[in-house]
Amino acid sequence: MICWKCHERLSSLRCASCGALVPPPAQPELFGALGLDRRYHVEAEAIDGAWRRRSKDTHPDRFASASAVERRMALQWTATLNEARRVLRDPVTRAWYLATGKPHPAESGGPKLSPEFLEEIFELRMAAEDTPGAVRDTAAQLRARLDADLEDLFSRWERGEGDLSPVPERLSRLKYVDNLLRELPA
Amino acid sequence: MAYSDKLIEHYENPRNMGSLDKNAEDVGTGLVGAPACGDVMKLQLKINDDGIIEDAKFKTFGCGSAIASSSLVTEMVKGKSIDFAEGIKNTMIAEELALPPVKIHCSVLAEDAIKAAIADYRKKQAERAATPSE
Ligand code: FES
Ligand SMILES: [Zn+2]
Repeated sequence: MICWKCHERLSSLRCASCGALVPPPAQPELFGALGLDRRYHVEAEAIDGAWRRRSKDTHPDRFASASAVERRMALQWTATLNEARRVLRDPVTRAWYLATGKPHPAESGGPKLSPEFLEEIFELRMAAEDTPGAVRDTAAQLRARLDADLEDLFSRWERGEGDLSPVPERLSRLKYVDNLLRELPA
Repeated sequence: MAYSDKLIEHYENPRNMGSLDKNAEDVGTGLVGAPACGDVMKLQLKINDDGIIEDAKFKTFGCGSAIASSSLVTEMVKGKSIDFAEGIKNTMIAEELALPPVKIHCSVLAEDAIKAAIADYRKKQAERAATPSE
């Protein structure tokens, strides 16, 4: 990439020769904003590291005496980088983001879950009042199976095989299971 | 966040909690979930041959707004016709309980549950009509 101000080659978001800031993207791709590849398998430390580096380059304090436009760009970068870190650090929001472009399921609509699955969740919630221990075990198994499923889908996708279309359905189930686990007495 | 008196009333004293026999011919059962939060609601209607809702029961595992929404909706439909129940919109529930915007999906759950219960009842009726009586 070339600096828009002095046309020098860029190695970071802030030009090494003139100090100009790369304009923030209007519709940021969150992995790209951090300079990361679009992958499900990414360590929290890698995200934090990328966030720290880029935040340093774009920190509004560095542009305190720059033009109003550049000051605004620095603020926008800060917002984008913080959002990217927040969404990508959590495996669930990261998975939603990769599969749908949004960090959360839609309020309504979304993947249709089988009646059997909802029935199972409902029965578990009924049973939770009497046998919370057994329900916790069952829910933990459901959770583990969904995790393994997601793991497999994303691993294949990262190898260039298959697509992510089954992911939202798995994530929706995960939401019900996690909600159940959260409601169980500790 | 301030909740309305009506909402708190229904939440603290839910009407029509419980269940009906889901295998009974005149009972329709709707089991629905809210994808945004993972809450689930079961709502059952007992409907007579004239299409009048004689009884309504619910069991909701969800937030206070969802419980109040299901309580309110069962109260609204009791003694009314299926057609009336089918016309209930979540906006009516949300307005009645003065739900804040983040809680709208909880009233959607109640509307979905009513619709699902009616659909289940209709399915049973169609099956009954299709089976030749001996
Ligand atoms: S928050 Fe889940 S139904 Fe209200
Ligand atoms: Zn430059």
